[in-house]
Parts: sequence; C-alpha cells; structure tokens
Amino acid sequence: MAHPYSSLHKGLAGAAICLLLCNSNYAQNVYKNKDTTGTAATDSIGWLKKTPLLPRDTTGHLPNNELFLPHPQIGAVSAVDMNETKKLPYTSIDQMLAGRVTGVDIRTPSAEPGKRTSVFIRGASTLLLKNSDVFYAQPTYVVDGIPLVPDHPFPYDIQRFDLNRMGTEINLLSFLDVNDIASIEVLKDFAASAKYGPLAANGIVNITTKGPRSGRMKVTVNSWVGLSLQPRVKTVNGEFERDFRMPFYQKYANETQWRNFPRYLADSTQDRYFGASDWDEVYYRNGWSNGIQAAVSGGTRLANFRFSLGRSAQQGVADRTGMNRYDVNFGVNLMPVKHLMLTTYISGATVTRSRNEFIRDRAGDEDYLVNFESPPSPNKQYFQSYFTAIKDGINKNRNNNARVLANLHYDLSPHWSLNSRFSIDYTQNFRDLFIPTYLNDGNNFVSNFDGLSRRMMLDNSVRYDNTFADKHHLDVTVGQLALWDKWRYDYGRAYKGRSDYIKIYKPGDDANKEGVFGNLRLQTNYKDYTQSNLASFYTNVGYNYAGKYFVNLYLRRDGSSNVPAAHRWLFSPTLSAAWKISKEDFLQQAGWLSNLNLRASYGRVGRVLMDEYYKGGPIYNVDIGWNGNPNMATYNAFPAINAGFGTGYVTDDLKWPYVEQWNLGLDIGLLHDRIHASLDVYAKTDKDLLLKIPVMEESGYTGLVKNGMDIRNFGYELALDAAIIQGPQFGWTTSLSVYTNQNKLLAMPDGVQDMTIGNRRLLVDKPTDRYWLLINEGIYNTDADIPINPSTGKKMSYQGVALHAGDPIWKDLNGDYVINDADRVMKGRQVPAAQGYFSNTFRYRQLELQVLCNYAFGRKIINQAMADRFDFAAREGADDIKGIKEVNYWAKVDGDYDKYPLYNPWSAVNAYQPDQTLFLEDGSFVKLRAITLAYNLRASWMERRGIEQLRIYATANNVATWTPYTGGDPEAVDYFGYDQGYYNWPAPRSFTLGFNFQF
Amino acid sequence: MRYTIVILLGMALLGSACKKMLDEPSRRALTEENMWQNKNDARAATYGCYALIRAALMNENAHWVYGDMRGGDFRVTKRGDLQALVDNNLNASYATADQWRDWRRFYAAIAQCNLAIERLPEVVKNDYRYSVNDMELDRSQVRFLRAFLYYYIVRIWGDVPLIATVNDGSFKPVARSSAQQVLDFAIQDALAAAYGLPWKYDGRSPEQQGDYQGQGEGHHTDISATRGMAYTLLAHLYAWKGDYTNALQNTRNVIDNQALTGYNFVSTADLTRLDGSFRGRGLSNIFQVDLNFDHAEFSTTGQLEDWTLRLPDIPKSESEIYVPKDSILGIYSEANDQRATLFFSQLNDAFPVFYKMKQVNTAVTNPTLRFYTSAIIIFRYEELYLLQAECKARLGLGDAIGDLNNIRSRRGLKSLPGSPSQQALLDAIFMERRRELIGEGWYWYDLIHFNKIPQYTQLTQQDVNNGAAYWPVSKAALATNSALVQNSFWR
Repeated sequence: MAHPYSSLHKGLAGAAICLLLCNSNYAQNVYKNKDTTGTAATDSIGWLKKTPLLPRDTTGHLPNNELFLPHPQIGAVSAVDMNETKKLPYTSIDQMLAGRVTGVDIRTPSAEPGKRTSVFIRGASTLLLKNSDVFYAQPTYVVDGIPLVPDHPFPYDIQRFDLNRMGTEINLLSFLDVNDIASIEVLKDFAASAKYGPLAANGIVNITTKGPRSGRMKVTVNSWVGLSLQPRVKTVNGEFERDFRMPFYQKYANETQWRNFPRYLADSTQDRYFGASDWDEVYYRNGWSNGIQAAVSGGTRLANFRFSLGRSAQQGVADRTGMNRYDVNFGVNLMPVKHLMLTTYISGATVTRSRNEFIRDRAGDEDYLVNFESPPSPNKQYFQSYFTAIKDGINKNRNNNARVLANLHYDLSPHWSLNSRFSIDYTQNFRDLFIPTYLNDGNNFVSNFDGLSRRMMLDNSVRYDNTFADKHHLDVTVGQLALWDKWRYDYGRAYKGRSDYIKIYKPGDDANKEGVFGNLRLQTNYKDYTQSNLASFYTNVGYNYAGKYFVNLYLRRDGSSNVPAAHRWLFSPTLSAAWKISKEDFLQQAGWLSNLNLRASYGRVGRVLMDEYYKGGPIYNVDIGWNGNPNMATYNAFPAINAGFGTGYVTDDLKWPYVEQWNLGLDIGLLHDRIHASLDVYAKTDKDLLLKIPVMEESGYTGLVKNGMDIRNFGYELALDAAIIQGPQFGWTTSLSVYTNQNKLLAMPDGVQDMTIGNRRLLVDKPTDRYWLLINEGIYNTDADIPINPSTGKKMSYQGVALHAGDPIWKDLNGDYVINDADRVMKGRQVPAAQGYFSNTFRYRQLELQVLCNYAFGRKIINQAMADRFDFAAREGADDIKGIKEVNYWAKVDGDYDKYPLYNPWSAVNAYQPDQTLFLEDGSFVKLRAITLAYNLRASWMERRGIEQLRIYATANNVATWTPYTGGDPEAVDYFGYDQGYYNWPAPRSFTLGFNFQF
Repeated sequence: MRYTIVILLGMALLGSACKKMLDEPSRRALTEENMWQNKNDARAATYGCYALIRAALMNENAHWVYGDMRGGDFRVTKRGDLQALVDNNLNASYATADQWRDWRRFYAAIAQCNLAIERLPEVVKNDYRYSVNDMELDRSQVRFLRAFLYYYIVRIWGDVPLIATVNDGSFKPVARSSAQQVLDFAIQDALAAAYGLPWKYDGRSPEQQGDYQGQGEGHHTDISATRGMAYTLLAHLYAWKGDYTNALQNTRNVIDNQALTGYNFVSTADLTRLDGSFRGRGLSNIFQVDLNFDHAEFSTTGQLEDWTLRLPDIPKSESEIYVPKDSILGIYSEANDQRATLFFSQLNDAFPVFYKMKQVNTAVTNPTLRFYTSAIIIFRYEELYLLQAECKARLGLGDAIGDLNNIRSRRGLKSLPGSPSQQALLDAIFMERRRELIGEGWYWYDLIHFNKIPQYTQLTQQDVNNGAAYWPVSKAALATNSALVQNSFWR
C-alpha cells in the first residue's frame, strides 16, 4: 500500500496536479495521474486504439472528458484535490477552488448560502465597473463536456439600482454535489482550453463527474453534518450613535442642522432606540448544514450505469438565510454493436434559497424607496415584530436545472473514429416576492420573475491517429460545432394590492376579475429575450516524436450571430509544444531528476458578444426614462422609439474581440517525484474589446461603441509539492503555491488615452484595477490655514466650492488651487499582487490531518463601511438608497476610529467620500481556511462484508485570519474592492462531521 | 477513406445551415434597416421626440432646477446639492449637479428631432398608409419641438451649439452659436411648424383629418403640438430676442384666435386642485409635457412634488424644499390674493408646504404610494397674457395694464389704477409673473429677462455681465467637443 502522494507523483509533471480520485476509492488508494505534460500523452492518445471503448482504469471509470474532447496534454492546468474537497461542506464549485488551485481569483461579496459569486482566471480581462460587468468576465464551466449556460446580465437593463440581478441570484454551480465530482481542473492557457473556442476566453473550469463504470455493483453513501457558528458583533444602541455624532454637532452644526437632529436619537427615554441592543439574538443563529448522497454503479462492459441522488441543506448564520438542493444524476454507457458506444447523462437539480431581507435589496426589487427616517430598532422586542412581519411576505427563490448529454462514439477502424455529441443545459429561474404592507409604508408589493437560460450544443468530429515506426505519433481531428444560447425572462410587478391576503400577481387587463392584485395601472410586465448562436469548424493536429517532442496545432473558425455579417467569421489558431527533456539520453542517467519538461503555447480565441446590440450599426430602442425612472415606454399612451442614445452610437463595422495568450511552463520532478515543482509564465492580451468611449455630448449619444480596447494580464504561477516524509506509518506532504497577476490597459479605441467611467479612471499603459483617489493629508483646523491662490486671490476650492475650516486637506497635485479629478491618483490594487496557498498533510497509520492556509498580499480595500459611518450627515433620512439603515446599523463598525479626523460632515465638499487615501487600507491576509482530520477504518470484517471504504472525517473551516485590515474579514468586500460593511457577509467559522461509505 | 467522404459531405451540409443560424435578427434592438418602414415607426419616432423632452425636463427635476431654484424663492431643508443651487454655486461637486450642468439629454431630444425631420419622408415611400399629409403633420410637430428645445436651452446656457442635421457618425466638434443665431433658427422652425399644424386635433382642418392616432380631440389637447402652441412659442422666442413687435404679433395670433384655440383662463381653485391644471388637457394650458396616471405614466422622481410634498400627503416628515413663511407674506403681500392660501399649506409650521402641485392620484393614496403624475405646464393662458402685457408695456402701448389687471382680478387682487410709468408697469408684470408662475419654471428666466438678478440675488451686475445668469457647461461636454469654451463666469 503506497502513500497516495507517492503514486500521485509517479510520473507527475504538469503545471498542474490533477488528482483524480476514482469513485472515491480511497481504500485502494487508486489515484490516477492525469499527466498534463506528455508523459502519459502517448497513452492517452493511444488508448483508443489499443483498448477502444474499454474501461480504462482499475476501478472502471471511463474518463468522459477525454473521450469527448481529447486533451492536447501540454497545457497549463490546475486541479483541485477532490479528496480533500469532499470533506468540506461546500455547496458550490468556486468555494472548492478557493485556496486549492493557482491562477484563480475568487471574489465572494457575501457568504450568503447559495448566492452567486465570481471567479476570475488569470485576471479579469474586461473592465469591472458595475455588477453586470462581472457576468462578462466569468469562466465557462464545463461539466462532462457540457458547457454550462451562464447567467445573462440583461435584466439589469430595467433595474434602477445596481444591486442584485433580478431573479433568484442563485449560484449556478450549486447544482453539483461534491460527491458526484471526480475531478475539477482549471484550464488556463490555450494549449489546454483552445478546443473550447470562444467559450475559453475567460478560462475554463472543467468538471468531470463520476460516470458509469463496468464491474461489480458498487454502492457509496456519503453524509455529513455541519455547524456554522453564530457571528459575534458588538451591538450598540441609540446612545452610542448619539455619542458618536455629538462631537460633530458641537463643532460644526448650525441651527438648521441642529433642528434636523434625527428624532430617533433625540429622545433618550424611549427604549425603542435607547433600550438594550440585543437584535443580534434574533438576527443571528448557529447554522446547521447537512448533506447526504448515495450512488450506485456497475454493469457489464456492454452496458453499465451510474445513478446518484443527493440532497444538501445549509443554513446561513444571519437573517434566516439558507439553501436547499436536491439532485439526481443518471449516466449510462451502452455498446449495442461492436465499436459503437452510446453514452447518455441526464441530470436534474433543484436549488431553493432563502434570501436576506435587507431593506436596500428590497428597495432594489421594488424600484421604490419607502420612508427611511426611522431605522429598525436595535431592541429585540421591537425588532422581533419586524422580523415576524417578514414572514407574512413571500420570498421564494428556486432554480431548476436539467442537463442532458448524448454522445455517440464509433470506431470505423483502428485508426479512424467518429464522435457525435449533443447536449442541453437548461436552467429555470423563478422568484416570487411579496412584501406585506407593514414593511412598506402601508403599501404591499408583489413581483414574480420567470427566467430561462438554455444552451444547446452539437459537436461532430472525425479523428485519425496512428503511430509510425514506433516513434512518430500523429493525431488529427476535424470537427464542427454549433452552439445555440438563449436567455429569456418574464417579469411582472405590482404595487398597492387590495389585501395582504392576495399574494399572487396574475397579469391581465381585467380590473374586475376575481383575485386581481390591485389597480392595473400599478402593474407592469416586462419581457426580454436574447440569444447568441455560434458555428465553428476546427482541426486539431497533434504530433509527437518518441514521447519527447510534442507539437499540437489547433485551428478554428468561429461564426457568431452577434457580430455584423461582414466580420462574422474569426480564425483562431493555437500552437503548443512541449519538450520532455528528462527523456533525453543525456539525462536518463540522472537518477535525482525524474521529470523535466518544458512547454510553450501561443493561442488566440474569440470572445463572444453576449449582447445583441452590436450586429447592425446604430440602433433604435425605447430609452425615454430618466434618473430614478428608467422604464418609461410611452408618451401620452403612444409607444415611443428613439435612436439608442443611452446605448451609444454603435459603429457598423464592429468585429470580434479576441484573446491572445502566451504561456511558458516548466515542470520539474526530483527524487522520484518526491519533490515536484511547476512554473508557468503567461501573458494574456484581450484585443479589440468593445468600449463605449465618450463622444460629443451634442450628438445626444452617451458614447460611441467601438472595438479597440486592449488589456493585458500577465504574471506567473508557481506550485511546489514535496513528500517530505514517506514512511510506512507516517507521512508528511507539503504544498505551496504562489501566483501573481498584473494588468495593463494597452489601448483604447480611436487612440483615446485617458477616460473616466464613474469613479474609475482608465489610462493607457496603466492597470485597470486601480482605485482613483484624492490624497488626504489631514484637516484644515482654521480658515486661515486654507491656501489662497496668489494669482486670483481665491481660496483653495473643491471643484469650485471654497474650502473651510473642518474640511480635509487634499493634495493639490497640479497646483491650480482647485481640488478636482485632476488631483486624483490611481492607487491600490484590487487584484492581489501575489496570492496562493500553503497546505500540509500528515498521515499516521489510518489517520490523516490536513491544514490548509491561503493568502493574498498586495491588495487594497476601500473601507467604505467606515466612510459611510462618518458620512452620517449626508445619509440621515436621505430620500435615496444610501439613506437606508438596516438593523445591522446597530453594530459597531470595526476599525481604528482615531485615525479619521473630525471633518465637517455637512460640508458641501463631501469630506468623507470613500474615494480618498484616507479609506484605502491594506487588504492582505493569511487565512487558515481548513483543518481536516480523517480516519480510514480498515479491518478484516469490513472486507468480509464487502465494505470497501469507511472513512470518518471532521473539519474546521475559516478557522483564523491574520490581516492588517481593520474592517473585519478582508475577503468580504464587493466585486470592486469596496467594503460595504454589513452588506458583505464574511464566511462564518464552521465545523463538519461526515463519513464516506462504499460497499 | 470512404467514410471520410461521407462525413465531410455531412459537414458541408451542416455548413450551409450555419448562415441561417447566424443571421438571427436582434430581438432587443431595432437596426437602421428595420426602422422607418411603416406608419408605426413614424409615429413612434415622433413620440420619441416628445418623450425625450420629458426625460430631459424631468431628469433630476431639471425643469425646476433651471427655472426656479436659483431664484431663491424656494429654500432648502438639508440637501446640499439643492442648497448649492440657491447659493448659485453651480460648480459644486454632486452627482446631480453633474447632470444639471450636462446638456446631453436636451441634445438627444434635438438629435431625435433632426432624425425624424430628415427620415419621416422615407416612410411615405415605404408605407402607403402613411400619407404625405400624415407625414407633414408629424414633421411639423417635430419642428415645433426642436424650436422649443433650442428656446429652452438658450435660456439656460446662453450661446449653444446649433445642430440641425443628422449625425453621420463622424462627430465633428461644433462651436457655440450666438444665442441670437439659435433663436433665429428656432423662429424659422416654429414658423414652419405653425403652417403645418392644426389649431386642434379635431379632424376638421386640412392639416389634420380624422382621428389622429385613433384618438379623439381630447386625448391630444395641450399635448400634441398645435398652431396655437407654435405661435405661443414664437412670441416667447421673439420676446427673448427683445423683438417685442413680433412677440406681440404672435401673442395676438393666439389670443385673437380664441374662437379657434378655445383657450381660456383658469380659476385659482381649478389651477391647484387634484386633477386640475396639472393633470391638464384643459383649455387653460397651452402646452404641457405630459404624465398621466391613466396611461400608467407616472414617476417617483422628476416631479416638483417629490421635493415639495411631505406629511400628511406623502410618508416623509420633511420636504426637500419649501417657501418660508416670510417669503410667502412678502411675495403675496397684497390683500385677498387667493394664491397665498391655495399655493401653500401648513403655513404655521417651520417649513410650510408648497401646495400648488399635488397630483397624487386617488388610486395611490391612503396610504400613499409616491407616484406623481403632474404634467409640466410649459405655457398656459395666464402666462401668455402676462407676456402680452409685457410686450405692450415695452412697446409703450396703452392697454398693457388691462392685460395685467385681467390676470390680477382673477386671483382676487384689486386692479392697478391709472397709467404707471413703463418701469413701474414692467415691475408689476414681473411681480405678477413671480406670484402666478411660482414653481412652474419661470422665475429665473424672468429675473434674467427683466434684468432683476442683481436686485433679487447675491450676484452683481458685473457677475451677470460676466455670464453668471447662465449655467456652466459640464466637464463631459467640454472634454468631448474641442470647439466648446466654458461660460466666462464659471471658468
């Protein structure tokens, strides 16, 4: 019985370690090494020929993804150790990736169970300025060769606030049960991912589930139960808040401001705000989670199957949130006639989610602001009634997902084979929302969202492979692919229903119909539909000489329905090569060197335009709303159409944007692969990205949409593994990784060098992920301190507003005595300069302990929670979304309060604006993410009863964090690096106990 | 090899299916080739012009920001951006201020008008149902709207770029034209519009036959452009130019044709009541930018009500702006002025409520949902009368005071006696306009027009000469049009 890592490292050489634990057969320690560098490449190319359509490994698992999409085997891939991951109660893939792969930046603005998060592979190549931008930068997830349909951001078009996307906001990847997953690989360079064509523009996360297998019937049962600990917050009441504000009032308030002193803070005798602050007892809880999954598989060589059922539930620690999943998966391999293999997978899942009840999010849903003058009470007694009232409402969120895959593989001859693959991924997204009168200024609200995403794929290919003179191996594939994507939603909302007992909104135009919600004029229906079709032709030519020299050329031509006809087709080549130096004669004698492999790739793939706006020149649409009212469609009851001023002037010769990527990799294995290292260096350049550049305002257009933005992401990724001790009783393995990402804007359309979008500046030759900040240098204590422009005699001003005592000293960079955008600097990375993980695994007999840390350095956060705290004056009772206070307002914001000067919060210069260096903090961290203890029961009685594996494990998650950041968990910030305080829920500390059982 | 050929043939077939698959028309946006095809396109494009004007005027309450706030009759409770307006600190750094400095929304409406004027004739060729007569009517409406837009922005920014053609995608910088030039252009447009527009949409004129858009006369009253509106606009254009002879000519074109227009005065009670003048479509309004609850056209923002109302009308304890009691007593100093009581309520509170507009439809009250539906009244009969009085006064005609007294008596004031000096008469007209039109987006323009800024605000004559009466141009506009220069006062 060898140690897992020793068998793992045998011949291991990839940039990537792929641990493929087949059928969770830990007891047998059967790890299959999916070598990504070429040692096994001969095998993986040859296997079809030598043992066509036979189970390949000892447990009989058929490696589906290779069957469908032959791996070039010389790319940069990073894979997750599924054996470890399975011990953790993760409900989605991105959580499994965190701290376990290289090259991946995972941003989780809120740890609310089941909520959408984001993953960026090798940096974000498109701009991230608003929530909808995140959708365009996500990798494609491929499950068993089925590319999953992503969510489309188009519902944002009718949303007034840039908050959640309409619908359920359920994480698409929460459909998968971790126990069904055989492997997860992150494909980074185009040697590994070009075969996915334009879907690979943001990288690929390739997930293989456990498929059907032949052999004796086998049953596995996995179950776990977990507990997330109730977070501790420092609750405060009105008195604290009043004490906090008093110094500002005493120093700066004028008569009007005193008069506006908020009423809820004025009367200290009422216990609604001045009583005990114990809202947290109602709001937070210990969250239980549990999961159970069972699978059965087996069959003959001619017909075999796998069937699994799973369920998992997770309670959030705050606001009664949680998620529930049920999933069922069925796969079958049939060989009806010789040489023909039919594989079918059918999977279904349903995920429901209990969402938070933030007032802000509700305002976003309703597109209506209620009166925010009195925040929720911090006192349990009052808060409880509010909490109970929520229960009278409805907030149902359900996603249903179905995936179907049919694959037909036919061997024409020993050298020729045909493959035909058809898949559908279909997701429904339902949300019903009803907000009762009590919560809503006496007017109730109802809405329902019915969304659909669908992706169909058809892929046909012919393959030839042969070996000549035992040395020359040739492998040629020619194929064709078609992809049909469709997104649709129906959304209806209605205000002011007749009764809180009517919680359903039925669209219709009969005001007298029984059960009609309310006045028809207060009901609105929206419908939208968009699609994207892709047709592709591809050829792959792979050649290797004696397992030493590998060359692979992949050529592809893609046509997209969303690119104007003249530029519809894009040619994209990828060339990759590897040199297995350790196989050279001169190194054959070097016993200490077990592997030395050098690989390089260059490739290009297109980037599909998800929006349909750009394929026919300037457009007309209905865009006649104004701020706060974006969805007007008629004037005097007549429909109106206008030129697309809001969309921008779409130039009629738009082309495909595309990505070019260089990758250079080196894999080293020493001392029989006890020590293994792999280094990748990459430069990924997005070219011809669309950008709306400012255009003459007098044209009426908000901008000009053009190709021509180029962004480069570059960096390196280093992974190191060492089996330090490999004793029969005791083993110690350590892994360490570090990866970086730098980003640079190379060009903008029309030679634009400098551009401002919202609170970000884009400057050619500078990174795109920097904050744009005023440099804060203290406070003007007296009016006399304020510099005076000697040439005009005017005082230093902030955008024309003269500064006064109590205003911040902002550095006047250009010396014009006016503080404005010209005095802002681009500062502070959002993407960490370096991040990675450090993991140690100890084994003593059957007991195994793993300690996993991950870290990020050189990353900055804007502590907006603190800025908002001090900016209370502008937020108090504001008839604006920023005037909203949640019950969480009654918790002390973490931070170093003494650091912030006592500015005049009423000053017109917006003294506490978050975009200044005052609120920029170091967001580096080291996190002890997981400690796992596992025990494998092994006894003779088990074997007698046919029990193959019985493992018990316990884990602790999010154990500790070390960070200089003063504002709490540095990972709980929004997509753009702003810590929005209580809106960003940190991942709770949690514990799990579970078992894997197989017989 | 045999198989290969079969497979390759199969693939070729699939290839031919590609074109069909990739030629999907967009379902989300109308491209150039699908627009201007039929009568519906033409009408929707015409209504797009109206709708973009509404968007420009309602965006962040722009109509009142430009027209009322700077005058200082309204005071601010706590919003800093609004206080900056009262303080005439127009360079202040607020997101809303960026929007107010920015004229893009007005130019979007102008661009839509330019587009419609140029492209509507194409529809006649493409759709037999769209007659030349139909087209001329729509185009005349659009010309009226374009003239109105230029009139509107000249009052805000003074000299503005004059753009009268459709953008061809080249976006060449355009310098400002002098206000005089722009006004002359607008006058030509309005004159052309007047010839093509009916007095009423009653189907009884050569310009407009049958039911327009399938709706009767009442549906279009005050909303769709008429000849009366065009003359009213012309009167204002000439008056802003200082050509009072022509201005008077045009006020007379309206007032003397009362038999055709049907326009009439409104009582103070009807002006202010729910579903009164601010719902509109009556004969006292001449031109309104419409919202209408029955059409589900309402908004939570963009209405003066959003800033002026508070408890008990809407669930908000404090309004954003108010007219202080002292100001009310000062402005409405004459006895028996009905407006002092009907335009305001809760006079004894620290912040009285400006109660002239309160179009909170009964369908959204009790408890109140803050959906406002008041139309913006651009021109109404009383205002036209006061303009006529001013023209007469400027020209030294004797019956100016009669027009003024006509309005005064309808609001419960005594008639002014005798024959005051020209300046005294103009001052009286100015004050009457201030009283009558408060909160309707006139006061600041009247301050400019009657040259009262130094007298009523903290700006000096020197400031006014320097361009302080006009708004600064936004940074975005300056950055994208190299031919633009900032107003001298705001540099």
